Amino acid sequence: MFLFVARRLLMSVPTLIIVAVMVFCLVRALPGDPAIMMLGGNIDDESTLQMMRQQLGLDQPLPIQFLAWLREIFSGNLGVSVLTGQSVGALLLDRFSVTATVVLLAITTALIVAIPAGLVAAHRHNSRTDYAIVFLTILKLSMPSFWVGLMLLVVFGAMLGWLPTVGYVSMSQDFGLGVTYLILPVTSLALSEIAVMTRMMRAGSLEVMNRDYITHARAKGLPERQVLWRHVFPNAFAPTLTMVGIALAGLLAGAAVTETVFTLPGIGKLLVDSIYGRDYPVLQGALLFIALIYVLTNLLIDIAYSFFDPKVRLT
Amino acid sequence: MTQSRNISSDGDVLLAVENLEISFGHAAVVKGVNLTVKQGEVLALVGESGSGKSMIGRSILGLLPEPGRVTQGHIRFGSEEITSPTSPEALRKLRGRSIGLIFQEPLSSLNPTMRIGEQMFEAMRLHTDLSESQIRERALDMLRQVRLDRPETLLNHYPHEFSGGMRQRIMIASVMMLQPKLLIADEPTTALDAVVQREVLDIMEELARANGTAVILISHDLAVVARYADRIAVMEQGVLVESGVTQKVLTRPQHPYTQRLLEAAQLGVPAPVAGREGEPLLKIENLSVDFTEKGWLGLVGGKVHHAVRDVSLTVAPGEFVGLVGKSGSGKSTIGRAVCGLTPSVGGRVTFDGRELGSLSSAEERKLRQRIRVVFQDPFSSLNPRMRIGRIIREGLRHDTSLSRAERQRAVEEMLEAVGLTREMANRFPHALSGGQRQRVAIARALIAKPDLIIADEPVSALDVTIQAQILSLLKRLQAEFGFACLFVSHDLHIVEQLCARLYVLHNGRLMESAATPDLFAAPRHPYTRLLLSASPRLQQSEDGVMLAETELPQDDSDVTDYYDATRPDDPYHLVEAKAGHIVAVRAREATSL
Repeated sequence: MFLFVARRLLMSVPTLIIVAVMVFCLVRALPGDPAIMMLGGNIDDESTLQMMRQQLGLDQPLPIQFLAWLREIFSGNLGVSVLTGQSVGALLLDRFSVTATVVLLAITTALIVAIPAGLVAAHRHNSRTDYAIVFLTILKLSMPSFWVGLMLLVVFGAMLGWLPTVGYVSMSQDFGLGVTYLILPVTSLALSEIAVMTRMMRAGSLEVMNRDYITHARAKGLPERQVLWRHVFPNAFAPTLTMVGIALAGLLAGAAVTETVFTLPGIGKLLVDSIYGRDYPVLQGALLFIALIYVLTNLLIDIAYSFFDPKVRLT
Repeated sequence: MTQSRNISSDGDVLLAVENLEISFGHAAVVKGVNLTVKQGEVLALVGESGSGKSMIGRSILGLLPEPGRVTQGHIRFGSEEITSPTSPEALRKLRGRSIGLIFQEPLSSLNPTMRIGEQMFEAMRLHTDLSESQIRERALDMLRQVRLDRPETLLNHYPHEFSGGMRQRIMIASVMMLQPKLLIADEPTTALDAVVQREVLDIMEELARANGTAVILISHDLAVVARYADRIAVMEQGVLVESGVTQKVLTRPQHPYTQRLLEAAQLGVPAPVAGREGEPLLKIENLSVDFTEKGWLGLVGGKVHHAVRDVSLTVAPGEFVGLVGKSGSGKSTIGRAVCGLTPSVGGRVTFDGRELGSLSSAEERKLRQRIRVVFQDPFSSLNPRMRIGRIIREGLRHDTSLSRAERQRAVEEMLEAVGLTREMANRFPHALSGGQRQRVAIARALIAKPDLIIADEPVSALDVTIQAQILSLLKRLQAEFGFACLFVSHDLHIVEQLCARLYVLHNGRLMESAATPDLFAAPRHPYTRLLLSASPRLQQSEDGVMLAETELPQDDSDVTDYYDATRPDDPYHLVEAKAGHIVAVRAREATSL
């Protein structure tokens, strides 16, 4: 297990270096000049611009710029934001904590709802319960998530006035208030995931229900509940787990739409802002950070697999 | 052999099935079946796939697969009416506790995500008041009874770590642990090879007799169940056509269908297909194939498994040669290596005087077009999205000289040659039965008029009566087209029907080879003898059909030092016991032949 994790982390280093090269090149390929952005667009003085460029290291050839950046990363320094002067590392962590709180809460909620719902739908295959569950998931899947987010804001924020509509308060500052700011974004994200995961769980369970070992579990005289939880669930969960992995990585890397709709200061929003602002250090740092999140999430999911499928050996 | 058993004719009836009808939607799959099972007796329920025999077994547990329903009749077990139970709870209490179930596929009837100990314990916890440690003791005791070594070490393992035979024994242990009054065994050994099948059935019978458990043994193979059954009931297309005491059914079958089944299960008169004189068509010399498990990062280390080691064999033009061994013996791998589907690590394969692998790729391709394959499973070897006509036509793809119409005609002729109709060209594989599909696979292989067919267990997935049909079809086609065949099989009696010479493999090594009649008359290697004694067949005797108890002739040679493939590091030599009869021994010197 330990060896497996160590090996996987080691193997991710080349991945991250390739990502670093691509990020660097892509960012340089963007039109616009950060030096001009920093000077607020006033370029009446050519020498000021040159000085600013020199200061930012932009006058160096690209390979030199890249190596300098790489050296900084390895020494743990992601640079400072061109726009605000904040340390990129601190900025990323600060924004990521917001995204992570929302996403982890949403995924957990989704699993708590989706697993039983999928199992029940499969168990009562072709019954009214099944049809109702399938109908609701399709209904949700056919609604764009930003629209659902907006509707939640309109109903619970604007019309009923139960929950705040704009902004974010960290739970560490004021727990109660923080929770009220989280409810709508978490619900909005969770609804989408519930729809997807319920369908996966139902499909997986239906497949497993036909297996001989399920009939066998029943032939032992086990009660239905035990058959479902101990025999169907562990075997039917793998495809859903894959979905959870994909969703988790994708959302942690920035639920940009949700964050925009609910004006959350998350990592997705940071990314979008830094692109508009040509904030090279932040943009590069954020993209690299996202790649790292993907690597770590995949590792986590692979480890989780081994708990559900004994045939998966972590070697 | 059927021993005389004390089943009094008025013995207590344990299970009564009356006028049972089971339907899927509007189609009745079981029609008006009456059956009784007395305490402690073994009833064999025999029929081919689709005869409804498994559905009867399932309905006794109240576990028919959707949308199956009992539409008529009763099933009574003791005082409980299973078809209309007093409560779902009452039915659930019968399951496991009073009626046990063992399925065909040991690979799929154990939950892959649960340790086998846990799977054995959970039913015990449910049905008994024993403490955890008592349950554990009982499980260990059962594992010992099904003759598994060191059971303490097994409980913490997962099903995939065991072989098919071991899993089925674990299954038997976990079901018999509850000492049910009735055991329903649905094709419990069909997926296993002959040697293991015999072991497992013996263990099952022994345990059932010891506990006084009645058994319904569901099977398609009369020869296998005849050994164990007190009574036999024969099903055909949902109808019970005949039932009676085993001996009586075997010797005086009343219904034509029973007679046909018996005929198919009998040792036919072997009619080997001998080859033509001259240079061998296929010559394999010292072939070795390794499989490597990937090591660290797929780069360093890695475990090497020798699938085939130093095997040499020949096939003459037009000759049928059998390659026999149980699963994992390397027999299929040899076939695959000849086709170039698996790379070899050593040895030479010569086809029609030219060595494969030494030719230019165009020439090699041309040579290989004369070798065709028929696979075991007709359900997965035909592309489900292609029509039959196109599947067969594909065999002609390399031949650019043919026009469209010519190809079409060739396909139609081939369809008729394998006993199908022209109209079938427009169907999809799923609309065909297993036997028909295998005919299509044979047509696909033969359409290019190859010189060599590699048939990898071509009849193992089929019902007995269909097996006989396919074998006679192969024989007829051989007479017509003159191809040679390397026939890979685990069943000695099947290869006996067609093959002129046999090669017996064990753990990748050649154990014995001889002309078929010689091998059956005087098998030498202990492994060959084991294989022979494990595959039961029925035979015609003066008073009707009997179970052929293979009385092996004494080994008249004084060789004692045979090579044992379970100890791969021993020295290995092949010696000629007599002309054309080759046996593996450990030391050349120690043998006096």
